[in-house]
Amino acid sequence: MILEMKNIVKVYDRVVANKNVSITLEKGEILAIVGENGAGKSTLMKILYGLERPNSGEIYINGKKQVFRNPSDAMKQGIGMVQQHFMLFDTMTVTENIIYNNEISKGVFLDIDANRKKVRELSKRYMLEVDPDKLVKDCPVGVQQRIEILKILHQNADILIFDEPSSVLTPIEVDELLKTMKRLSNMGKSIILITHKLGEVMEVADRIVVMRDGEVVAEKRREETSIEELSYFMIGRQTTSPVIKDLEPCKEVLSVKNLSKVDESGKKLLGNINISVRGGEIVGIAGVSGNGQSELIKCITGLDTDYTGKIEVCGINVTNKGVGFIRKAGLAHIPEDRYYWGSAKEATIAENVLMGDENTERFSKKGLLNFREIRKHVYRIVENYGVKVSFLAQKMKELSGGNAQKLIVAREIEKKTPFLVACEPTRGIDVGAMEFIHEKLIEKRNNGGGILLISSELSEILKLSDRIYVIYEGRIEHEFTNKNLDSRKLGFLMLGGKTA
Amino acid sequence: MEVKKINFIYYVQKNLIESVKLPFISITLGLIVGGIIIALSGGDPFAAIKGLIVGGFGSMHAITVTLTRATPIIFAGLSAALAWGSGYSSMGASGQMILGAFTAAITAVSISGPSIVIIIVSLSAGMLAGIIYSLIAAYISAKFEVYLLIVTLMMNYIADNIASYLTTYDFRDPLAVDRLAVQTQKIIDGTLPRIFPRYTLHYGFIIAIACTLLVLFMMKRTSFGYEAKMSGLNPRFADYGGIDSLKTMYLVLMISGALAGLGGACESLGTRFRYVDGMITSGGYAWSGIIASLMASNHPVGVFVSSVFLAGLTTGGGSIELRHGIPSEISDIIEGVLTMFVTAKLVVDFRFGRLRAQKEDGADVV
Repeated sequence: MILEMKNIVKVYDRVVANKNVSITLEKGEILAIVGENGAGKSTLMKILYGLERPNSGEIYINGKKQVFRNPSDAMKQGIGMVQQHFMLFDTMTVTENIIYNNEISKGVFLDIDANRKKVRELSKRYMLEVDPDKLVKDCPVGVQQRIEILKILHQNADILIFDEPSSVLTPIEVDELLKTMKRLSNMGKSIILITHKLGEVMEVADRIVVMRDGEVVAEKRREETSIEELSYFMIGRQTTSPVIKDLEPCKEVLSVKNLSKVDESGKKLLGNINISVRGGEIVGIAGVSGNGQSELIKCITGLDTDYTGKIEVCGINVTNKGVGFIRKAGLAHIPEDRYYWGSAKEATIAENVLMGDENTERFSKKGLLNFREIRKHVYRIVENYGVKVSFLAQKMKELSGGNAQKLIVAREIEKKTPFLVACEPTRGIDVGAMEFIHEKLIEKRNNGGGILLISSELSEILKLSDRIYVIYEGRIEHEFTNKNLDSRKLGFLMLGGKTA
Repeated sequence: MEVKKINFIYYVQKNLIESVKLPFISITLGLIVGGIIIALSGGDPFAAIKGLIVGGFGSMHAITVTLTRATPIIFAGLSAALAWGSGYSSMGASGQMILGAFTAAITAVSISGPSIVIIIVSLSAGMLAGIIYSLIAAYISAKFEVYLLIVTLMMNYIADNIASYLTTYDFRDPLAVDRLAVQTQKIIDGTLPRIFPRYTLHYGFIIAIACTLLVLFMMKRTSFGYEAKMSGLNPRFADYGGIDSLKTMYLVLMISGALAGLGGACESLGTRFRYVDGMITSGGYAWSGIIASLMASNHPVGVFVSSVFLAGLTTGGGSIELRHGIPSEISDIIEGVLTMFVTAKLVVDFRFGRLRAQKEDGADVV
């Protein structure tokens, strides 16, 4: 046994991220740790890599107890991590990046030839092809990852941690990566793979640990399990039944046709998405976060205008149009992140509520703001939605998270638009505020509004939606209605399982 | 009504205290450091500081001199406050003032008519020069994605050299007694009248007051002001709400350029009666204006008050040199210390603001 982590406990403020987690790793083994976002797998790896210190628990390397105060302690014990976001110097050469911190030098000077030779050698030994003299920024993402791996191998790592390694890669690059991992393990390196893509796991892993809510809920050898079983362990049993009553859907408020988006490096972020939302229904998009939800929202709401395909809001063609235009067509939008997008913390509550309406006839005349109307409106919102504020000129940053979220939800719902995009409407808030926001969303639906609901909480989607689309790796290929719903199958599809 | 009046008063007080706190601390620290330096160089710090205050504000003469100097600083300060408050870090006031001053000066000598017409046309020409110059910077910054701060800063040197070249070769005063003087022809009709016949203070100061109120009104009461403020506080929020950020940027920088250009124009029509090479840069008006706007956290009225204070410091500095034999550079030292504290605040806000934002963005803690 090359590595053992025993009874690891890690508590952040009020969240227990790891509850008594124990894992082991053999030499030459590929261990996959899977789990939803927030299941605690990243925390565990941060502890192993010395980025975080556990509240209790021990780490043994080759049977000897170790304490890692920082990553360089961990590196000395042969632990290396391939980060999700590469830690490379873009404007330096491949060689310079790989040898960084472990240079061969002649006196005070860098021996460039010797270093280059060393990189060639490494590259040959591990069959990871790179051009030592190229600048990193000129290498494709897949090659950059190879550089990152070589860098760690150059530091003589025996245990390699891969954190979501395939999330930035194209399918061909993913195949390459999986082959590399197998080859490395055959050469005696031990690998820990952190991911929620079960297809990849079933291809390379020897053993699989499933985490949920900070605990290890299952440990299986690959031969004795399946994607279905793993996805079941990851998501758990979902028993929430829909609370909405039947309603005759009316006119279409959102129609997305053949929406595709490719990023600068050529990776497909969204592939041929077709969705539609009608008035009087809540349509959920289920998926593990990071599968294209953010990109999809940005295209629909006009924050991103660089895509192909066609988008209509309330019958108006809004393809490649900006936010202002789409909002006028009939969009309201509860944003993914209440402080990043949804508000200005230093501005007052009234100013935050006014956003998007500052040029409407109701609140301004010839460019002059009508403060009487604004105050009345803000006061009504604060009252009706039970937002706890001390006065209307209070700053947004002084509100609690739940109250801030309520205010944003109120602002967008009270615009009374036919179409609402609700992203993570209840993220990180208490149960009371959550229930309240759910009620308000349902009320809007019952009044004939159409809502597109994006949430990483599957229970929320199941509770509120009339219809559900499943998004996986930027594609939407499956659709359920709340009548023929099978939560087990839904979870299976969310995690990349294929149905015949 | 649940929203109580008492809370409102509390808010106003708290806000007032918060916005006054920093300038107050900066000024006090500036005076203390200045005092220490005076003491070290063998002077009496208390007499000197008293001298500074009396020299800057102690008599009708002192007050009018101070307000005359304050006028261009107020314009530059308003220009900076509007831009910075909307999130656009423009340092271009200096260049815009130079071109404003130069354009107004040559316009005033090349047209004829009643003085009031000459004044209005010349001031407008100066304003237009500021607008155009500011918009060029905005365009370059938007088109080539370079920092506005750098573009505007570099363009200041270009403006200074353009004005210097034109004054030296094309518009040089043919009647100058001193043949070496690099200046344009003296304006005879079309100078800004004085407010009090015996003092230098001119109507440019009244225009500055009007502009302060106008900017205040624009920032607080119009939907454009709202959009500009939101763009400054959180540009992503502004985008999300559908504010056209490009349009807002051009409008903000246009008005900011207009204010600076007008400030320069008032200086040549009201104080110098011509454009003299280096008259804007040697006065340090633009820089003082930016400091005033930092001191006041971009609040127009605060800019006005801070500008007057900074001008008074300089006037007082001249006076203590005469009366107490303490070098007038002491007021530069105090202004320097002030700048240091005020920019330190900017850096702290920026750094911590960013760190905090990163922490909150980094949702993947668990």
